[in-house]
Amino acid sequence: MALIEVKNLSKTFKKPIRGNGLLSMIKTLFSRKYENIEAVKDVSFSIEQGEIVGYIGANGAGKSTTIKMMCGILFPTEGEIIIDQKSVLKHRKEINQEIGVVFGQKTQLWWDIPLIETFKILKAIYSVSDEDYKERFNYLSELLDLKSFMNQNVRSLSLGQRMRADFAASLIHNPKILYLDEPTIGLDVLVKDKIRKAIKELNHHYNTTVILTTHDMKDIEELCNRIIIIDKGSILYDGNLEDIKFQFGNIKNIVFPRFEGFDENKIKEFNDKINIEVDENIKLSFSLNDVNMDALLLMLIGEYKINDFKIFDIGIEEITKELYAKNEETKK
Amino acid sequence: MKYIKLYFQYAKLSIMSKLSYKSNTIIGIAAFLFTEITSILTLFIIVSQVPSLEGWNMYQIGLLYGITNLAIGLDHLFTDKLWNVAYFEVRSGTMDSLFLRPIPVLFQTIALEIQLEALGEILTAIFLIIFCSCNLSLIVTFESVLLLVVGIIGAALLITSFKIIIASMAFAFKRTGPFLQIVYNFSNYSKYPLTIFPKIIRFAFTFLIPLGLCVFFPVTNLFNPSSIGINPYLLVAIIIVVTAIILTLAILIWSKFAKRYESTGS
Amino acid sequence: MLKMKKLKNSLSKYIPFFHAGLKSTLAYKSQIYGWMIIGVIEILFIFFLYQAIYRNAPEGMNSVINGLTFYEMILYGATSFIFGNAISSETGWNIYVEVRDGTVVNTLTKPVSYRIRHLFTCFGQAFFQVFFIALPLLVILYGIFIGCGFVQFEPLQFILNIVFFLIFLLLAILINDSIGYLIGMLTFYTQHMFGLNMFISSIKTFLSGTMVPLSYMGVFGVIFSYLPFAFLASTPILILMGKMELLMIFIYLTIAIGYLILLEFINHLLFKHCIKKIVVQGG
Repeated sequence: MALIEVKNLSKTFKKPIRGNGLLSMIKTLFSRKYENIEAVKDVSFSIEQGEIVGYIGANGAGKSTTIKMMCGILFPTEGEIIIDQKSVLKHRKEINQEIGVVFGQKTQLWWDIPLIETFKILKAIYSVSDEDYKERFNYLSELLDLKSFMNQNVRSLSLGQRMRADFAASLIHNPKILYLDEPTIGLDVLVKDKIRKAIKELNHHYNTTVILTTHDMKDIEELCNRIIIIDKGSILYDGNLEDIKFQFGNIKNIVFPRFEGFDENKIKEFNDKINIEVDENIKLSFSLNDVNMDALLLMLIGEYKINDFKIFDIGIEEITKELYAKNEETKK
Repeated sequence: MKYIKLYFQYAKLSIMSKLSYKSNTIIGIAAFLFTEITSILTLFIIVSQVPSLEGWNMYQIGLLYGITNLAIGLDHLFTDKLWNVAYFEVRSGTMDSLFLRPIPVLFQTIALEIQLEALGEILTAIFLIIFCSCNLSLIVTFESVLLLVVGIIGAALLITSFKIIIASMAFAFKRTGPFLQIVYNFSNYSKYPLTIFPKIIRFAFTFLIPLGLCVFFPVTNLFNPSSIGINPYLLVAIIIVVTAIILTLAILIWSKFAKRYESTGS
Repeated sequence: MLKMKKLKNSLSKYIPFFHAGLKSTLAYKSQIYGWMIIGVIEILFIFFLYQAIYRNAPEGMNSVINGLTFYEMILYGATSFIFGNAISSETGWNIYVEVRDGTVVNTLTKPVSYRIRHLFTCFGQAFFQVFFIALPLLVILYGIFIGCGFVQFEPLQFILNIVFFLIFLLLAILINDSIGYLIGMLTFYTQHMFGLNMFISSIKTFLSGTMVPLSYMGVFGVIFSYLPFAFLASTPILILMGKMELLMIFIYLTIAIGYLILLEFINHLLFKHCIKKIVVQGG
């Protein structure tokens, strides 16, 4: 039995229709019209203990709505969520003991008092035993480097410090599942790195199941062995990151600075399945299934004396874009 | 037991937070103190126009006013967060974090804030009670004091209960703050001798919103025991039973409505 | 003529702020029903309390206490409640929010007067509060009281009263907004609004004669009637009720305008000082 099972989940919001004009504002005093917005449509998936799953999609795709329903603070219009064989709606309190949540933009820390106090009260709230608390507290403050600001007021912490603290706070009761909603939003590269390392380490150490939403594709590429892509409330893709890359034909990109005397036709002569984009840089993208990359590189070096180039895989961003496009096409 | 310990931990953090903004807290307490002083002055100015109001002299009215305000102040001190629930917390979805914890949301809502500003109300109320008592010859017996103490606590719990009920409705209707304000304004009536109001309002304060039962009769008992026409001990029992019933009802209604709490979308 | 056109042009850039104030009031007054019920409760309460007072006065319900009969007292209470809501201004809160969020700095970069901007927002609010709520309610209230013969007015005299009342209503809006602006400026120093606002509100309520007419306060009442707060309730209401001599009206008019100029002068100095503070501290 999977740890989390989401079955045919749908959520429809009623949104009042509001006009802008003065007259329509006076009208809303007396009556209101609503429109229905389907934020999540018939979503199903299951997640095993210990997985790290990236839940991605554009703004308003329905990510946060799904996560909130999985936490039990938003009710599905249809469908159900079962965690540890318990329905989330019926056993909210028991489920709460099993989950930790970090919403990137809202902190759960007590704002005006030293950080350490938040941990103390969370210990009491979750009835964590003294030994467990000690073990985890030391582990987490080591892992996330919290010691130096443990006695500072939360409101005086930097965003990065606060995020790390929030992250630790959501783990002090050793939840089976950790939901991270945009955990790296607005952070600088170093802090992002630290948080990613911590997520990996933690998943390894406690076998915590992690579900994260993000806009940062590096988060996904470094952390997730599985991704679920959602768009306009429906799942577009659910599976392995490598698989989807393969599905998109092992696409590679080669980029080098533009120079005088570059001739597109020569490349086309070499292989007409290479896609060429020219702006400040020249970008060649192609599938390994069609093109022999070694030969191409040799040609580029031999013919043009290029020695300053970069090779990289297709990004998840491009995949998502392609998926959206494909989805639109099939709709038509 | 766990919850009592937890309550004190919450309370400690709340007071620590308040004290980290010392000047704000002091301004807040002073503001309530000052507001209370002006409304007491207003009361005295109005009442001093006539020798007595339906048989109540100025000090008796002051005593009743002080006792009622003490109850209101106690409720204010301990359960102020309920206002926020009724006004904006449900609407803005900021209650999410409470619903993510494995302890009752009502407990957290109440424990989260000790509103020190209420000290302004409580201090003026105590001062007014002492001042008026000194100018009255009160009948102080064990039973009259017991009745008064039970009445004050009962009244505070009743106010809390009504606040809980109206705040909990915000879970379904998003915003019930103005409605809470209405009940609050209405309960201001109970600061005055019930006898000045028409029968219907007297009835409401004895049976519907039994604040009068908790305050008016115990205070009357301090100087005119024969007029209340009921054994003080029996009255104590009635207050306890009525308060317990309404409080239980309030908690039940809260847990019923809290099940409907939803975060905001996106 | 050219000057007029110039003035019109320079004022037209404040029209959006007028609209903003109007709209925010509309959004807020969507709880208008709640507000009405609170109003009814307050007025009923005033009614019962004063009924008891007059009942217990030496000459019963026909007593005249401090120059007011029972019905006049009720009329005074109801008018003061409606009046208080008509002149209410959010300027203090608006400035506080801008100070708190730091957006106040933006005002330095725009060719718009900070004071006039907030004044127009206040006008937007007042427009709705006065024309859509207060005046209709007052017409109904006085219609009932005059129609039922509870109070009597000489028609010509009453029209004159109304004219003066409207002038004092405008002055009350301006003075109240100036006080609000002053409190807003103070939040530059205190960073705190709730307590400060409550403080000023209770001073206003007490000293303006909103809860109890100043004539109840003996010699203090006479002193209070010369303070700026009296113009926020007592003076305009007494004028409308025909309780004031023409000479006194003109004296009060002069005093009110004097206070308004004084307040605006203080506000001007405070604003200059605050701006300096922002520039020096870098927001």
